[in-house]
This record gives sequence, structure tokens and C-alpha cells, in this order.
Amino acid sequence: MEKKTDEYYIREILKGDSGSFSQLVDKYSHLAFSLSMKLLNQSEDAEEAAQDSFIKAYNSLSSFQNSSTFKTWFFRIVYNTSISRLRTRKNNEVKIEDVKISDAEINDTENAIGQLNSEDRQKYLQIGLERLEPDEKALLNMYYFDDFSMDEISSITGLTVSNVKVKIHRSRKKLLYELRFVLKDEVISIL
Amino acid sequence: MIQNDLMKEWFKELPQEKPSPDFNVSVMKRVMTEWSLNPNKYQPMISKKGWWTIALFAFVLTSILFMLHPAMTTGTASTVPSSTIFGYDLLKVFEPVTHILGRLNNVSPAVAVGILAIIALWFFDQLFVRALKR
Repeated sequence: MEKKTDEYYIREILKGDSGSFSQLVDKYSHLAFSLSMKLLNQSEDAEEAAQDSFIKAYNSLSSFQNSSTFKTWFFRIVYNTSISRLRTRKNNEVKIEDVKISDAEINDTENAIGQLNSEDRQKYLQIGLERLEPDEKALLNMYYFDDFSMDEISSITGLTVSNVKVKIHRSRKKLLYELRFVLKDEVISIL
Repeated sequence: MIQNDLMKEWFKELPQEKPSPDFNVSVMKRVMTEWSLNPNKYQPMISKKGWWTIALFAFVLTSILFMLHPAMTTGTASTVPSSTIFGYDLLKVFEPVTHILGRLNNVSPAVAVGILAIIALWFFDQLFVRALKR
């Protein structure tokens, strides 16, 4: 079957064919849930946030302008919906603080991760990610997993591009810092 | 850059988190509920672009007709004797008004009715869309 663009489905929905929205749901449900999950860390909460985001997107589709892609516009909704849920839960601002890890330690950790087999790497990476703040996980996920550019992440999160760069850099450093602790006894000492 | 690429590679190895199997169905149920509450939500009679085109067309047509020489001469050819109040010649005071009215004679009644119809259509379109939004 021929794949149509997001813009095509949006036009159809705006003409009154709400069924076309299912195409967008099929296409983005995994990514939306994945981003919510990174922020909220509870699958039920993440599903609710992702569902709410789809409904918000449907209701404000007429205000969507092609100045950004639908994907970026929709992910901004997912991000904001999940962040407000997170805030009501935690009731405080998430701050990404810099950790102290030297370049040599970063290199050691990266080498160690690189030498693991894929299965172990996945395991340790997930443990490391669990130790990060939700905001840090979400930023790393958007950049490294979903392949969003810095500009797109800036548009989704409402942060400036330079702020996004700093936060991703710090989150990455923090992930390696956490991984160093996880791997310390098990792997680095062996190598 | 190489470090970034490595990190990307490692992230790509992670399994994607998946929502429950009935997630898409649940979303579509909620969407259809929203739609059933307001099925005509996204159906304005004429789009914004359409309205701008109509407005531009009406404006150009009216302007062209307005610019034409009047079919009947007014003002200078008047046979009405001039009258003055406190030294002001009333005919001269009202000359610009009669000039505009004379030019308006050029606009065909059909065009005027058409423009009124467009304004009425726009009014009811807005009324309809606002009523649906509520």
C-alpha cells in the first residue's frame, strides 16, 4: 500500500475524516509512549500521558501550521503533557547538574562498554539510564534513539539550542558516570 | 563525533518501549468520542484562503467599477440653484459627497447584491463555526 505523508492525513482529518487519525496514531504511538515512559517511568502513567497527547493533538490539529513538522509539533505536546504530569507528581523543577568525571574516566568507561557484547551492553545501559533524572533520560533518548536534531529538541522542549546542547552533554556525562559505578566492579577491573 | 556515533549505536540496540496492545484502539475510541460530540468540528464552509480570494476579487471588481467615469454627470452639471447658509455654498460643501455617490452609480446593483451576499455568507459561516466550537 502506498504510504501517504502526515500532511495528507492531516488534510483528510481537517476535512472531517477522523478515521485518518488512526494512521498518525499507528505511526507515532510507540515513539510517544517511549518518550512519556522516559519521563514518567511508569507504564500506566506513560500510556495515559501518551493518550492525552493524541487527544490534545486531535483537538488542536486545526491550529497546526506547517512551520514545523507534525512529528516535532506532536512531540512538543507529548513532552509538555508528560512534564506537567511529572511536575504534579514531584512538584519540583528537574535540574540537570554537572557531575565530576575526567576525560580519561569517560574514555575508560566508553571502551569498557564498547567491549561488552550487545546483550550486556543493553542491560548496563538500561541500568545506567534508570539512575538518571527523567528529563535527562528523555533528552538522551530523543537525541540518540529517536534521532531528533538539536533544533528539533529545542522546539519540542522549549529550551534554547545551546541549552539543549549543554543538557545533552551533561546527561551523557552523567550516564557514563553512573555506568562507571555499575561497571566498576564487574567489568572495568577485569579489563 | 565518533563518541556520539558510538552512543547512538548503543542506544539503537536498546529495545523500544511498547505501549499495551490495545493502546491504539483506546486512542481511536477517545478520538471518535470527541468526534461524535462535535462531528462538524473541522468543516468550515469556506477556508480562510477562500475568504481572502473572495474578498480580493470583490475589492478589485468594485475598485474597477468605481474608477470608471460616471455614467451620469453630477455636481458641475447640476441645474439646482445654489443656496448659501452663512455665506457657505451648500452645493460646494456637498460636492465631494455627490462626487462619490455619482461614482457609486457605476457599481452595478448586481455587484452590490453579490458583495452583500458574501458578507452575509461570511457572517453565518462564522456564526456556525463558533456555535460548533461551543
